[in-house]
Amino acid sequence: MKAFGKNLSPRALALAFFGLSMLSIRPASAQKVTVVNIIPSFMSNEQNDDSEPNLAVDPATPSRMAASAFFTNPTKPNKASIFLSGDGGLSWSVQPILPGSTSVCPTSFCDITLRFAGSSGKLYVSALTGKTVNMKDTITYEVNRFDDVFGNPTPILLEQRSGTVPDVPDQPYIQATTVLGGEGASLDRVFVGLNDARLPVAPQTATVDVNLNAGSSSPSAMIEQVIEEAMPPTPPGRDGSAVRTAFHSSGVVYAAFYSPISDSQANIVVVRDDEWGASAQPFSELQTGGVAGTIVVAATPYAGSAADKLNKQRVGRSQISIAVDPYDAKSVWLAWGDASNPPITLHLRHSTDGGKTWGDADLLKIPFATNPALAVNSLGQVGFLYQAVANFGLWETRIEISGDDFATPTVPLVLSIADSSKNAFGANNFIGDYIHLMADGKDFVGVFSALNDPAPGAFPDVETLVFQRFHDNVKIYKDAAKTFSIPFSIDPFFFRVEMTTPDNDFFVRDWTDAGGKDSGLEPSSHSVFYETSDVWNRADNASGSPAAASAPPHVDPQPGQNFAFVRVGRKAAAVAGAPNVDVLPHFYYADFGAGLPYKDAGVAASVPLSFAPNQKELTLPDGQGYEWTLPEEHSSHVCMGVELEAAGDPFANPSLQNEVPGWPTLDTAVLYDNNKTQRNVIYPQMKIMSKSHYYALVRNAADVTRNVCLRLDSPTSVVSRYSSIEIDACGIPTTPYRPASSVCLPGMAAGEVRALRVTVGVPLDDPGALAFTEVTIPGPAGKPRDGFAFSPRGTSTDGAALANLKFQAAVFGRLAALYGDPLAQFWTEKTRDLVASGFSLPEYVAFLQQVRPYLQRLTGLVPRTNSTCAPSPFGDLDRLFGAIQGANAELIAPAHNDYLQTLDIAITLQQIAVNGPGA
Amino acid sequence: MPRFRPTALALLFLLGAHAASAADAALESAIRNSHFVFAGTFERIGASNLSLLPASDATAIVRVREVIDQPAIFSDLGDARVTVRLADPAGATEGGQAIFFSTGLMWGEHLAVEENLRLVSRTPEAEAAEIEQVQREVARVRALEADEELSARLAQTAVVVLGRIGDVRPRTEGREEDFGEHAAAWAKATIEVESTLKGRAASAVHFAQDTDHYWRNSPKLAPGQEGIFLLQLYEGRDLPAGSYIVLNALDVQPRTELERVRGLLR
Repeated sequence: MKAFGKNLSPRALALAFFGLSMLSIRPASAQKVTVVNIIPSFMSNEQNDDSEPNLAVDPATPSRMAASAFFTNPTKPNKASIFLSGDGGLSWSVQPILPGSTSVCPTSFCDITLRFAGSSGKLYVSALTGKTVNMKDTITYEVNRFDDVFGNPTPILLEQRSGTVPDVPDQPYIQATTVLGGEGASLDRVFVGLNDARLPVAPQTATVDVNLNAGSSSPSAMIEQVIEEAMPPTPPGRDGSAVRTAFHSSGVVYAAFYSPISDSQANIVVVRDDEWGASAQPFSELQTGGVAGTIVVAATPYAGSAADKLNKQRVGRSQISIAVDPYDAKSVWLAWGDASNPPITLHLRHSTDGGKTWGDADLLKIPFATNPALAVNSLGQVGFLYQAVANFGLWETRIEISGDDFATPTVPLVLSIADSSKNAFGANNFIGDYIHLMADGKDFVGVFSALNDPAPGAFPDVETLVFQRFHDNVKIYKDAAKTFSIPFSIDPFFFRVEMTTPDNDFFVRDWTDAGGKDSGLEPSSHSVFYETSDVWNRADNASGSPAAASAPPHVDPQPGQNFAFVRVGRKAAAVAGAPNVDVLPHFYYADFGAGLPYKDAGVAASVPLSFAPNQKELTLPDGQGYEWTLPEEHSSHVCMGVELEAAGDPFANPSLQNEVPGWPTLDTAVLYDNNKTQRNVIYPQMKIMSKSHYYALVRNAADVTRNVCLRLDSPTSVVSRYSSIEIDACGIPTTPYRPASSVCLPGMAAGEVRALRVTVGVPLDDPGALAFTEVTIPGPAGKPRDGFAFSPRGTSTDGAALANLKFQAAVFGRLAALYGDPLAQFWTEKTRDLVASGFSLPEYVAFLQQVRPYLQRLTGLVPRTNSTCAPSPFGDLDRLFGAIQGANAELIAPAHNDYLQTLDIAITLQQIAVNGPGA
Repeated sequence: MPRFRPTALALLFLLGAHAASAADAALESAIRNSHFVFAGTFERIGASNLSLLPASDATAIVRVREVIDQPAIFSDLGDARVTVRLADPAGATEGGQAIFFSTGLMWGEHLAVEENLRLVSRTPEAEAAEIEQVQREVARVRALEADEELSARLAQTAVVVLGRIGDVRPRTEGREEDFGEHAAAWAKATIEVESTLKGRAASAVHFAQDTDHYWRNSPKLAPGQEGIFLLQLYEGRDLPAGSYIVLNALDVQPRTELERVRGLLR
């Protein structure tokens, strides 16, 4: 914390002492606050009221940011400016990019909000522009897209509609994302909450504009969703000014607004849509008395008139913010302001059931405050930003951050403090109707408007204060020589609350198939999260030394001893002389398939990776792999997971342990928490030019009977490399693998597990993985829950024989371990001996001829389950008998594989039937 | 936006501004499209001093020697190094001097401008006279632009009167809550009309009292205020039909502009 400066007014100094007294009770924290005045030095003579700011961070490249504010157009007419930063907010430039016109709005554009989508890098901007048309003063609402705002800022108009004053669209507030996976994967989706008071719409004015494919060269049309079903009375005759949205990566979209019931009272309403805002009955998932929406609080004091002011700020009908937990679409926070006078108060509540209930008590209640802004970071912590009038009429911008739903009292970080008697606060609504907060991974970043007094004491809890304007910590100047001082005015300020310093931010999940590394982004921009990652298994204690840009050399685990490896990245090196940091990996495994819980990979202590100050990437070295044991009774077809923990970088809850990998909980956790990753792929070796089959388990992890649907998410370019792919499971006919189509296992009871068989013909060495994504409903509208992939590796007959014998040792070993059968143990050891000694194809055939008389009995060791859906290995055994009789290794190898695969899955299903999943 | 080859532009001065109407038109167009007009020297070709503007063959760092015209909001550009995105890299040589007509491209730690026109001096000695000539031309075009803007406003104005504001009363009917937060808090002002310059005489006008962003720049009237009032017929439903308003800063002109207004109305 900086000491307060000498240049504060007596009132400010009085509060300064108050602030210092708060410091004494502030808990020790790693939070580091940076505040940047974003008016560039070359505009130091700018003295306008730059209020109502907004901020966008490019999720794919977080150093790229854009910001906006009410900002005087400093150059050509018909071009409005935004702020751009290429260094994570430490410096900003102004660029005129928006075509506009001038009239009612003081600048050519008002109410600019902006958002980058996800991996697309495209910037979406909503704004109002005013002009006079046929002597009518109109306000036009626009949404523009910039495909490359840093390189070629050319706007592409997505939406435009106008109203005549006073019946105009107002306060558009944009959100955007690139869909991570499943339906619409890689498409940009845009949501704009606005108060659309054009005459055809009024008086039900609360609206959300939805665009399901905004990034296309032929973008979808904007869908206007009127989310208010109640009829506002006259007066006030229309909904409150602010309509805010929040979305979850699974496609759940919330919106919140004031629904007035009289001139002085309103209901605070939250609506929800589970289909990206475009379901058949949009925003109607929540209901109250047959009307869409949950009434969070009824008949709250509402400011129908602008007469209600908080130090000249209009309040009581435009102060609303909503944020959803990236790990749980049902966990949503809401903040709103009322117009009780006095005090005008902000309220914060939390719903854990998707907005159905909100309780009766506030988590926080902030009197004399306005401009709430909420965000949830990748650690699941909630940030609550607001501006309050504190003692002596001082404006404070504060943020409160909690990881326990504010159960532990929080001490606000004061980002800015200013004497509201300053001339700069002379006009009405001088700081604007909103400010903005968002998560940048673990950090909170945002923007607010405040007095541009450069005294460090005006920014009490700020460690790094950057003023681009010419200043001397006392005054601001129009010139670099600091000869001509100018009065203070209202400026936009960017800020970052760093929750984890980059040198303490460790990550794992380097998706090496993506054409580039995932550098620890939260959320990750990689949609196929289960296919490639930086956790892998080895048969011996050697990592395989993957090159930096190479996929790690994973080896499917075998019963008994295995070694797990991980490659860990670090966001930034530490300063020289800093102590080494130990990063502890925890390894997990689960049955291969969908809906199965993770188990701890063992009890042996993990080996920490010790990062020296200058190290940014480490791999568990040879000899220090994590030795773990796959139980003899367990199938060798498993999913692997890893979770990192360091003193300054704990993993976000929930842990992988005992959890089901499944959307929208744990898979979003993997995507949002860069301390986690998973690999849910098997890499069987099979004889090229043959057909073989493999199995995955599909479990209904829900608590109700449902159809479990798998979408076939590999592209045609991969699928076409196979000579054939057929899918079989209980309840469905044999189905070919058609990219983007779905197969549904009908009527699966809660907890039921079925086997899915995939029979493939592989003409090539390595045709690529076949991905199966569990989705909520079949087809493109389904949302992902989980996923797995088969990645067969074509090999010679010799290679297939070796793979079969290794797998036979594993499967027979399971029989021996589970049923205590000495014959199974005998043939397990004999098989291992043959593998160890090396063999020729004739010896392979001869060996199978030796074991043939015992296969019937060994197969019969597996008790039959009551399920008619359990695959029987006896059919494949008959085919194997036929092949052995022919003594043709070319035919034996695929038949041998199929028999073993079916026997293995039969054992697994029988074990699950007895012990439950994850036992 | 017109762009010209520097070699051709040098002819502008050789011809003389009044000797060639085509050159006149080109210069006037460049001034209209430019907010930064300055004399400068090329220091580095293919360079940029803004982190967000990559250097290329079409960028150059230019030292500003004399500012001819710039928006007041910017710090004094004198002796500054600005990055110029060149309309045509041909003719740009390090150490070369020119008068640049440009518009803002990006401003951050430095300023970047987009070149519309470059006038290359016949000789270094002649440049002073050329700068003076451009200064006069810029002043003439800026005055012309102002007249055009006011003339256009007058053309769409229903009534223009010279007069004095009488009393001012906030309007109590049609409350803001009926129309949303951007609806104006109207006040009605009576006008003691001295003369009517356009349209039928009117004796009252509404104006927005609000000082929020939406209405801050619209005129605020006070009792006793004299001037020329451009009364706009308002069609919004929050005032009675046929009401007049002043909306734009141009709608209230000082009495000293009377002859100018009369001239523009003719």
